[in-house]
Amino acid sequence: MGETSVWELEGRNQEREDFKIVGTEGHPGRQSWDMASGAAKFPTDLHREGTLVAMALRCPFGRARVKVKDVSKAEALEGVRLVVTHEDEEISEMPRMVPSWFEFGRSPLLSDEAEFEGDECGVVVVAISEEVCKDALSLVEVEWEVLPFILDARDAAKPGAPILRPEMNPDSNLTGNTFGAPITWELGNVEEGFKEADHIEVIEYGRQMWSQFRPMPPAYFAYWDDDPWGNPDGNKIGYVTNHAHFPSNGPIVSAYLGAGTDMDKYRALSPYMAARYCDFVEKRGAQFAPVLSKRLGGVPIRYIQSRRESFDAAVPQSFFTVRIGFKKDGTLCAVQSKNIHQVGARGGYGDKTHGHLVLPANAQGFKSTSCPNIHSEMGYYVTNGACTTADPGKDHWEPVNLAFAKIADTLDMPISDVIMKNVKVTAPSLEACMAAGKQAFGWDEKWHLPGKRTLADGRLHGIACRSCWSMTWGMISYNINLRMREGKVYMPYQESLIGTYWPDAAQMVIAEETGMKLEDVVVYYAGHYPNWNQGDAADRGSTCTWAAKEAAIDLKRKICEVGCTYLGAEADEVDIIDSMLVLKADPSVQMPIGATGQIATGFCGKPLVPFQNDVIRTMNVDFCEVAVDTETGLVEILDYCSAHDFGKIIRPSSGLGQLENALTMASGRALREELVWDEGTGVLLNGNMYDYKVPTALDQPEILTVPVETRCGGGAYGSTGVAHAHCDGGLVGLAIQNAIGEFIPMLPYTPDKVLEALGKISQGR
Amino acid sequence: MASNVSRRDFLKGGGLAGITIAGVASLGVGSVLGTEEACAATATMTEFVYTCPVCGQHTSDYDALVKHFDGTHPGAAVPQAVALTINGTTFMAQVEPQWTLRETLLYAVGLTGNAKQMCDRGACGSCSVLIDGVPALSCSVLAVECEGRQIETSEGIAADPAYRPLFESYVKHDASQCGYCTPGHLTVAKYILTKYGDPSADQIRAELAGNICRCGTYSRHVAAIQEAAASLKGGN
Ligand code: FES
Ligand code: FES
Repeated sequence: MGETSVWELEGRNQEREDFKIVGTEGHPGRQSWDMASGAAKFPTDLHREGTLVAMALRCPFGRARVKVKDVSKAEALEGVRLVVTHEDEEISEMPRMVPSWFEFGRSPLLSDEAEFEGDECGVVVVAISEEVCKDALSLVEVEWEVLPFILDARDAAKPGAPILRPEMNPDSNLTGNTFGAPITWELGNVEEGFKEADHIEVIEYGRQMWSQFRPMPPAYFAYWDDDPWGNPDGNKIGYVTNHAHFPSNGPIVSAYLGAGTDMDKYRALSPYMAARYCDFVEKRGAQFAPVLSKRLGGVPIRYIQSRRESFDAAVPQSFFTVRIGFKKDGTLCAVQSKNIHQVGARGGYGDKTHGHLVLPANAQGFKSTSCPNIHSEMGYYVTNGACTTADPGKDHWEPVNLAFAKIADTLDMPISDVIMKNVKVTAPSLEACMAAGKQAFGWDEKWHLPGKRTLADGRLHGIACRSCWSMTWGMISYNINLRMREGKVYMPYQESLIGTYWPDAAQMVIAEETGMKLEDVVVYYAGHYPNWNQGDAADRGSTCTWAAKEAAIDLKRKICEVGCTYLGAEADEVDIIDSMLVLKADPSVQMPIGATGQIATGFCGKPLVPFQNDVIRTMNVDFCEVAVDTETGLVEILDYCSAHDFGKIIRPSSGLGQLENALTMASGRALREELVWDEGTGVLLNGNMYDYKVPTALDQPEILTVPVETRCGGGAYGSTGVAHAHCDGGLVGLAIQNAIGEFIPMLPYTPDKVLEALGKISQGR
Repeated sequence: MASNVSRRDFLKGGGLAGITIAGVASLGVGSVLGTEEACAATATMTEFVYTCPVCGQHTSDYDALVKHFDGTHPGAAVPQAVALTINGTTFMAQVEPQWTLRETLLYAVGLTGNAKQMCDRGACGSCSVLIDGVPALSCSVLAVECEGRQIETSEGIAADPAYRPLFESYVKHDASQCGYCTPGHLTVAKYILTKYGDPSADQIRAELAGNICRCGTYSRHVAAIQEAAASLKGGN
């Protein structure tokens, strides 16, 4: 067993035990009624009379330069309102303000170069309908110069590969990462470490591009209207669909950067953005819609991005080759990791769009083992194909778990034992998760050596488990404003909803801390709060509750300070119970808190826990059971079991729902999901929902969720993030190896790869 | 582009102050806050304004609109008016001949629960409505084909007191995560209840196989539908 996690408690009331609301069931989400009935308006649902449609010319080649020769016929077409080209004075200057993360190459809003098939380039038209837009685009005279393209980061890294962004790096396709994190580093002395090893093995892990696949194709809608508050500057207000995202609200900031109007002139149009995976790629429409609308006097503009076109955003490729040295007892003593990681095409304008803002997906995960000697080397290489998102930190654990599986296979040990031997900090979180998960899954009864169990129907049976961290997002500060008025506490928010129920979790924490009834705490959407960081995704939503707790404590104190005089007492002699101010000594003496007038407070801050890479306090262990058909190569995931350390579970239904969500996504990524291009033309072959198949109700495996609570996270009461940790597909590969005895080095684990692996066995390799 | 009919306040709950939905018909939108009182009756259509989709000119009757096209936009497709019965209310909606029911719900009717579009056509089920009681993809049916058919949308089901247990169990079980696919699931859920009465998990999964949820909420739908079935059987 490893070390015990030790840290300072952060903030007030973290140790609370007397929960009345937090952790209880039966509190429907405030937005759930609207979402189920259809009353919730998503960006795709917005329409105003007179809405115009904008569409861009999209490149039919893997990479090309376009020469726009004549737009006059398009301009003359009835129903066309505007045609702009990349040479347009205003458009060509965009973005006007360049955030710091653009250091690796400015991405113009519209240029003459398209970096992938479907990329917007050259021309944008605005017309009364989609049909007229399409007709107008077909009337634009263009000449294409087809350019060489690269679809695989490994090809981009090869000497002699075409240089895709010479203005960024004239010598190669190598680029950097925004955080400036070192990409080559060494701990200890790797060569010495290998000398100590009883076994030396090499593992390979590869992942092709997964579509980000947001259920709602990006839907950009914007218009400008008179400032209803009549501010004297005379500027109009820009109403923009909001796909909110840290460090700000994507399209709003995009619009701000693009149109050059002050930040206070933007309003978000909808709190709903539909789901997204990790950091998403914001596309050009985010800026085009408000900019084109402004050009046309504020008329509503819908910028079209179809589902086909929305396959342009992906999770990047990553390819690892890792040499591991380990002792007879299964402990790692040397790791040498090489990683080629992809930076996809430019093709948008929001934060993260260039795939530059990535954390190094290198051997970071191995730092969480007790291996003393680690060498890590990586390179980010630019490709075409699609834009890529940032790469979430939990991916670092994929090669780590693969290394554990390799050790287990070599030494005929269960991988569960290898995990416990090698992860550096095991108490209390990992030990609790491993124990609870093994029991719920029936690990000890199910485990066998690779290839040693056949099911009654003739398929091979395999199981595996893998460990990973559960993240707290302590990188940014969270802004919470609370206002008590007429007996209720209000908290406005602007970040869009993506399915994590974070406002409901914040509501529960605020009610817990203030002593208000849950129904007297109103966490509501306020579309006029641009640039407020609060919750949204799994890790950030949970960490945001920490700031909500701090703000709630401040508000309660203020209410008690004002209200105590009404009860003839001191502030510490009164309390708030069920929304009433009560005398502690005699709770029958009470008054409604509304009588104290309006009281407000604000809190901006974050828990001390840093970003998750080096501090592992909350962990999780997933288990998986598969059946492999050796005739067809078809893999069925029979079930998943997930023991997740929530730290403290705040809203159980949505917390467990995130596990179901993430593991369902992981099952699709493990077995099917992958973007496939024609190698000759660079044209995407499976940009539709038939050929890029996400899991259906029939594909969803059984998912057993096992909540663990150690109170070790950085959110309120030690809570921590959920979904992020479970989205990758590698665990299924480990279970397949337990079934067939062979590792498959590249996701997804499609039948052809399984058959190939089985063929190796029959060839005696 | 659309008929201007009496509007209800149902957008309130969607946080959309300031946006106008063209020609919103209040067709049994019902509760946005989940309260019993808001589970309201459908509204009546009172007046139409027909709008030229090419130049925006308004006319007060359809014949005048046709004349306007003859004179001003010869050769352009003349919008049609079609009698649609949605959530029990029959009304005339101005549509363009090529408009799907999904586009009509979005542009002309303003009931966007089942105007959701996850795929480009026919692959996601987010746009599922019931037509004559059977699930249909509104993205794949022309509005003009729907005359004389009974169309039900998620808004109508949510507002129907008879299916209140279904709506409530959806909310109780967090059947929505991001919520984008949920209205499409809700319409098929009603069909499942009418078809099976007391559906098994396998039957529910098979019937929902055409409704994609990226958030993986499938097991929540099974739980919600089965609970609703039990409530409905018990007469709740
Ligand atoms: S929009 Fe996908 S099936 Fe209709
Ligand atoms: S709830 Fe998000 S797609 Fe179904």
